[in-house]
Amino acid sequence: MSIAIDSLHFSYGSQPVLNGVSLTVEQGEFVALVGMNGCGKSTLLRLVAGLLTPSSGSIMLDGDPLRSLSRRQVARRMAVLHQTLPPVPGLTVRQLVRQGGYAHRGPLGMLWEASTSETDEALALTGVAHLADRVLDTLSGGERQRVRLALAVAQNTRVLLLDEPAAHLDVRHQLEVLTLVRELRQARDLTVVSVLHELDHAARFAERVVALREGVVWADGDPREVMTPALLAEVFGVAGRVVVDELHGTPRCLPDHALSDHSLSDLSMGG
Amino acid sequence: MKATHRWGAVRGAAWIALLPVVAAAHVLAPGRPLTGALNQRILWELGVPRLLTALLAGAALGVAGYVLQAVLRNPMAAPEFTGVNPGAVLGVLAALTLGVVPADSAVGALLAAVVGGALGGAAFASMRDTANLVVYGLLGSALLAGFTTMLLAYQPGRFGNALRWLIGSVEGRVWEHLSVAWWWIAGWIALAWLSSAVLAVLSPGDDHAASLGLPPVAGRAVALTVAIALTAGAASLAGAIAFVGLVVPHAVRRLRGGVLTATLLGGLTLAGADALAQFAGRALAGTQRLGLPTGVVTALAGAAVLVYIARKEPA
Repeated sequence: MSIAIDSLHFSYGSQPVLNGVSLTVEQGEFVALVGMNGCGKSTLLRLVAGLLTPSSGSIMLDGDPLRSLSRRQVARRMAVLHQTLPPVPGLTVRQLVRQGGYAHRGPLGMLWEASTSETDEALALTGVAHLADRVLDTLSGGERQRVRLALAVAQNTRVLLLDEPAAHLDVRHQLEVLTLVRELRQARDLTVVSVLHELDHAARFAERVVALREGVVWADGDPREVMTPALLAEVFGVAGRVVVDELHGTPRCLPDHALSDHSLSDLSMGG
Repeated sequence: MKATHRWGAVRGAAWIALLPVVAAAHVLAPGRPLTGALNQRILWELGVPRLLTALLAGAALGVAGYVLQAVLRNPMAAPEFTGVNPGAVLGVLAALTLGVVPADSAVGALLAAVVGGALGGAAFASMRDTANLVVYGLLGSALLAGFTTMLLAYQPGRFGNALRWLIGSVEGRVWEHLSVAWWWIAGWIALAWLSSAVLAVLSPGDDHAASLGLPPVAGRAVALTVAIALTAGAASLAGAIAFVGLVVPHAVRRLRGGVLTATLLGGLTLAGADALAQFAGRALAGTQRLGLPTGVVTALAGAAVLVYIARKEPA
């Protein structure tokens, strides 16, 4: 399933966030959205998820305008892993993952079966079947993220949107969750668009990096080509070096120091 | 996994088995003999309707509280804290005091409760910020209590009758009231049950619900309508019964139950509280006639349970 974004504008009140983002994501791609805090990457993800309405511009899902689709139609095509899942007292893993069937079955179709085949399959595929009857609040951060990915899998969509899936996890669980995303993408032939905070994660796991600055796409391409010291300076405001990780053949960023606001605005004028 | 399901069924059966126990306790609590034509007539005309009133109103409040806590994501959300219950009681009182409906009209009380409950709920909903729900709820309740007192001040002669609605009591309802309330409450509980998945999907938040395919505003509108209708149904029968709608949902969540568990537990709780009220009333007054209003028992017991919950469940 492809996503076509055309000259998207969005502002929170009078504060412009996106100033004409155009981007096409093809079926099966793994795209990382990167940029500084407040650059609009999460906003872009929420617009694509249909949770915000753009002030102008369009988003097409496989040729259908997003705004012409109902919430359930969107949810059958696209699953979203938000930054956080508010706690629900007593909610078990199975109860949560089962909710993935809502878009397909509707409220009445959800009444009878305590567990569905897609629930069991999703639990197995994400390696959390043994946690199925645990209460969600008692799980560790890494387990929680796996369970939330199980929910997305149970939704049985072709597109997966992720908003910082590895945030607040230790190194081991960061790698575990992102590796799982990569495996799921292969197993289910998913199109993945993920906001990622860590540049090294973006370079290692995504095939394409889209860097946002000042509400537009500043750089877009293969991480091996896009990740440069110039990008570090312009998009992230740091002076640093980029080296090649020989084991994986992917770039690694070595930030050295933060640039001053003054030198940042110089970069802006230079383009 | 299968074992868990079977265990759940056993637990469910155990709760249903409590129903005849509570019913028997309720019937026996007044201490009146069950033999003799007069006693049997009293039982049939007063005792049984009183038991059914408690079961129905309790079930309605239990489900209303369960629905509110699920969609407002606040463990303190309850009919009495969201303006719905005070509004419904004020509606009934206003209708009675102003003489819009006769005191014993079942339909009139229900309509008045629905209008009042909807106004109270709408006033609450217009405040939007559910984080401060309890503060707003208390504000709303105080405001409505003020109006209620004002109404009473103009009609001091009817104070005794009004007190029944203010404190909450299941006494004095007869078959006619039940025949109206039964359809209303059973219908809305059925709708709540049919909306179980909507409640579940709404519980983890608006973004979650929207991404799973449920427009959160529409889902919440359905849920709040159900909660208002059920609270009004309970208020039209029993007035301002407090704490059932607050405490029952906590127990339901602990049992990992849903709407049906809330129905059963709500009914059991209020019927049990009323059995206790009758028993305590008899012990205190030494006569069969004077009873303790049920609302007193639910308020006292509910407050104790709430303190227990608050100590065990941080936020």
